[in-house]
Amino acid sequence: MGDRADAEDAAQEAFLRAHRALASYDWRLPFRTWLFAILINRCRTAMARRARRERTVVADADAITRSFVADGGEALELRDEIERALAALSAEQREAFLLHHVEGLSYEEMAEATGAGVSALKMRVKRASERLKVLLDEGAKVDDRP
Amino acid sequence: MTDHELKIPADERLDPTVERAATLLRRPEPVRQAWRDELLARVSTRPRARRIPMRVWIPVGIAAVLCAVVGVERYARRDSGDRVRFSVSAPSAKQVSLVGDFNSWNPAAVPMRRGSSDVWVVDVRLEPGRHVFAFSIDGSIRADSAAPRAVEDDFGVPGSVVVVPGRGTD
Repeated sequence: MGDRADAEDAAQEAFLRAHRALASYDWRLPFRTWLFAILINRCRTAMARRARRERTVVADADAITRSFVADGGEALELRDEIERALAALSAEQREAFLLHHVEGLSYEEMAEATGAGVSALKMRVKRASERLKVLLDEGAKVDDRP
Repeated sequence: MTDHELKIPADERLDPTVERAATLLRRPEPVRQAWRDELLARVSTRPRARRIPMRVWIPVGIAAVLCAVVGVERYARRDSGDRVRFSVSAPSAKQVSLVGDFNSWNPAAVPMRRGSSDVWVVDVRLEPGRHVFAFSIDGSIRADSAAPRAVEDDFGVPGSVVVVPGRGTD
């Protein structure tokens, strides 16, 4: 989502909604897919709301984010670069890439959770991977400059 | 989710640069204690029942009262009945029934019973308004000679007219 506070809110809302909806959950369906479907909806809603707010990201927000991550400086730098590259993707491509390559969902699970078709999701993941490679390679070249 | 848990097919393996990025993203994020506490507090708090505002209650209440009044009025009207007695003298008849526009001229719908003095009688409830009727006497349709004759003959058979008082007929 590109913003830790928004991500925390979305995650919390997703857990709460899942908790309240447990009674209506069909236990024959995979729980992980169900939970991801709720989480994806919350993230999409939060991002749409944020786009409406047209909030300006200030440099201090990044500093606050870093304070939560017990990570080395180099890893942080790389993480910033990755986040910048992810932010450059379309929302659909970013969502598909993260669900598949980071969260490890199968395309069938992703289709269940997002409502998109398997072939469309495969295409999004492929495009996202290609674009990420270009963006990350570009970032590396900039960093290597004297 | 850790690396070994991912089941990415070989043909989907990422470029090493992207794979390095994905590996970093897979590292679990530490959860802030404050976030955890807030979630637990919210989970343990029962959500407040949604209160229905008065602007919804008032029209719903009015609609319910109207429905009740209309229902009771209809029920009372049906129950009090607009009972009409039909009778015809047919001493030699074996089977007599009442037919009309209220029963689609079906001879089997309202059979009449033989009363005293060979007069066949039946009581039926009819809605207020004008009805055309006749008697089916052993299969033949006969109009009621004691009632006004209908101008039009439904189904091409003779008919008489009965008017049941009520709304629109007063």
